[in-house]
This record gives sequence, structure tokens and C-alpha cells, in this order.
Amino acid sequence: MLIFFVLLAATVLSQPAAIPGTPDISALPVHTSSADEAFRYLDSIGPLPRSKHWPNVRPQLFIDNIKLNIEKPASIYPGRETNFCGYGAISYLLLNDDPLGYAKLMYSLYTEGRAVYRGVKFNPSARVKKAAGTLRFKGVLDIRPAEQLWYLCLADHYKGYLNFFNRRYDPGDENTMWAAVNYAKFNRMARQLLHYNVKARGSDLVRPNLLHPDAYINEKLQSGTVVLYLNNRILHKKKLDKIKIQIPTHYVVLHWIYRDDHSVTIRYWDYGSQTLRQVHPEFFKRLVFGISYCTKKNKDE
Amino acid sequence: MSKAHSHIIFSMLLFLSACTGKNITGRFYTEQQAELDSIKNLYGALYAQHPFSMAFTDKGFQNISLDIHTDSLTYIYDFQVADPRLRDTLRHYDFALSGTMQLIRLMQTIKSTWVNRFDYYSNGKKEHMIMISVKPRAFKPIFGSRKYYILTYYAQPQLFDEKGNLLDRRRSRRLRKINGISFQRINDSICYGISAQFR
Repeated sequence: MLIFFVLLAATVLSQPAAIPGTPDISALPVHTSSADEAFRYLDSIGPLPRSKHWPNVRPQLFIDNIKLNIEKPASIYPGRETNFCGYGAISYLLLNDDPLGYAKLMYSLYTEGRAVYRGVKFNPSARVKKAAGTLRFKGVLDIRPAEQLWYLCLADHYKGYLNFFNRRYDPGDENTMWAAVNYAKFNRMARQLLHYNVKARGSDLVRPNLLHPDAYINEKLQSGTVVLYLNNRILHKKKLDKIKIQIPTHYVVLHWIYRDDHSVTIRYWDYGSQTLRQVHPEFFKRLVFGISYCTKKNKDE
Repeated sequence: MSKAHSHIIFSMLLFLSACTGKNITGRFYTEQQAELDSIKNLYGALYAQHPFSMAFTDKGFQNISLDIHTDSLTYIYDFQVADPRLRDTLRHYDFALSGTMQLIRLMQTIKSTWVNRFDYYSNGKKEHMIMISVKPRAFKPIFGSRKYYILTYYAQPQLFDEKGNLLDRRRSRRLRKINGISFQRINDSICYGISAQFR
């Protein structure tokens, strides 16, 4: 059983065709709040004193990081070799939709050590509070303490079956099963934290039963936001050995998809920037394990 | 069980335990120093013109995964080395064609799987190193996964303990781990580590 869980979680291209106008996720209609509202709120709170809850998070770096995330949501970076990609995708959507809510949530976490957002009560553990601000050699995440704090909070709060054997944070656990995000957990986070209705197809082990997943995804992109749960072992090969176990490990926010006779071109956000990639249609089918279709909730929902 | 059978089983176990890939050491660097240093220098010069990373994704070292970073997008291409579209793409992005092809040949020569620039922060200041992964020529262990050499070229001298382990920072005895691997000293600014993944 242990081997099963460990295995489960271990985590033909040509030049791209010309890209038509790519929909900008931040341009989707009806946001919960705006970046201007968030900046006004941050300006109103004045200088931030050093937090007794987060000993390694300096206030000025914290505020600078929050402002950067609100100004450029696409720049958020969940870190090299961490298991934070699922939390990164959630945060990217949250920042695009409700920057004011994000700013209030982060302020409350920093000053009070806990926060409530959309009814979810975050009360991070002492281990996580000590670790935030100390993660190193993760790329630009090294100098982004607010992001470290937030990803650690999410991983500390939300638990799925992949986290069963490692539920308490120890240094270095950002790279281990402690931070892993199975598909049900991802969708649970999205439903609770985002002002979206989330409809999911796929699973951790079995791909969605779709003859043409690209056509389905394209149709959904016309009316909402799509997050893909991908097999990163073949998308971003890290070993020369033949891949024997097909499992998904990576979440990306899809911006655009285009299919022609020979290829599927996708443009997606992950890890601090947008990526354009072209793959063979059959390869694309093997790649996609989960499709989360998110649509904005009505005000009364 | 006869004595002969016992000997055979014992010999087999001895053989299998010898094939565990533990014979990877920093000696590899001295044996391939000229090629490795050339890859580092050539990649550094090409990267200064266009940020990119390059990996080989097959055992025959014929398939390349090329990540080209621009201000707005990262483009990921997969090509066969002989594919004319590889050269077309390099021209399209104004890469130095002969230098890039020379880099590819050098990587093929020593079975280098990946070359990349890695940014990190020391006291809030941005630093960088060049990482080169190499597939060892040793046997792949029968009951284990393949290991890769990871060589890191720092721009500045680094700190090590008396055993040659790379330390995290000044006044610290903690070992520095990058992507979960610790590193050993080759010289003041070059280290090596061993990883189950080449990137």
C-alpha cells in the first residue's frame, strides 16, 4: 500500500503556428475585486510592524511581495522542485479574481497568525510559521516571503490522501509528499477558496473519457477558466529511462489551445511565466489526467 | 543446497551489489574536464545572447528539448538533432548557429543530458550558477534507478566543510541542498552531486 502511494505521488514537436489573440485571464468579466482596491487597502494600513508569528518574514519584503503579486499575478513562482504547483495555480486564479480579498487575507495571516477567507479558517502550525521566509535555492521564491508563507499555509491546511503518511511539516517537506496535491484536493481548494463553480473531469489514475479532449477543453475555455492536471513526467522529461507509470503531478492554468491536423498547441501559466508548447494530438491525450472547468459564481451563490 | 549453488548465488549477489552506481565520484570531472569546461563556457556565452536551456530526452542522444525564454513567454521545442527545423528555429531566434550546434555536439560526446543556468539568492543578492547533468557510462543498476552526475559551476568560490561538503552559508554547518541533493567539492567554485533525475 505504501509503495502504491509513493508511486502514485512521485511525480513531437515542431515550430508553433502563428498565435491568434490569446485571451487574457485577467480580462475575463466580473471580478470579485480589483487591483486598485487592493492597493488602496494596502496603502491604508500604514507601515507593518514585524510579526511575532512569522519570525523569518520581514515586513517590508512581505508587503513588497504582496504588491508585486497583485500587480503581476503571472509572476508568482511556487519554487523549483517543490510540490507547490497546485497551490500556485489556485493562487494565480485567486489573485486574478479577488486581489482585495487576497491582500486582506495575507495581512490578517501576518499580523494575527491566522485568517478566515470565504469561511475557510487558516491557523498555520508553529513549524510552518518558523519555516516561512527560510526556503532557499527555489529560484526567485527565495526572496518572496509572502509567497512562501502562503504556499506553506495552504499545504499545512489542506490534506488529501497523498499527505496521509506525512502530515507534519519538517524542513525540506516542501519537496515531499507533505505538500503533494491530489486531484480531489485541488478541486476542493478551488471550490472553497475561489469565487468559482468548479466542474472536474478526470482523476489521479484514469484520464478523462473524452475522444477529443482538446475540443472539449477549447469549448470550455470560451466560457470559463480551465486548469489542467498533467503528467509532467512526459511533459518535462527528467529521466532517460522508459516511463512505466503514467501519473499526473502538475497543474497548469490554460490560456489558449489550438488544434490542427498534426498538433495541439497550448499556452499555459505555470511557475512564474507563460509557456507555449506544441504536442502531437495523441501525446496530448496521454498528457491530460484532469480538466477543471471554473466559471464565475453569481453574486447570490 | 550444494556448496556449488551457494557459491553461484553468493557471486551473483556480489555482482549485483557492485552494480549499484555508487562508483560515481568527482574523478569524472578530471577525466572529462576539457569537454565539461567547454560546455560551460560555450553555454554561458550563448545564454548571454538568449536565455535558454537544453536537454537530451532519449538514450541515443538524438532528441533535444529546447526551452527558449523571452520576456513574455517560454517556448518549449522538441527536435531531432538532424531535423532542419532545429536550425530554422535557432535562426528565427537569432541564436549563434555554429556555437549552438557545437554545444549540441559537445553534449553528445560526453553524454550530457542537460545544461541550464540556475539563479539563486545570497543575502538577497541574485547570483547564478551553471548546472550540467551527465549520464554516467557505468552500468545502470539492475534493481535501482539510473543516477546522473550534476556538476555546478559557481561564479564565486564557495564554502565547504573539512570533508568537502558544500555548506549552506557562512557561519553554518548545514549542508546546501539543491533539488534535494547535496554537493561535494571539486575545486573552490565547481561541485558535483548525484541525482536520480537529470533536471
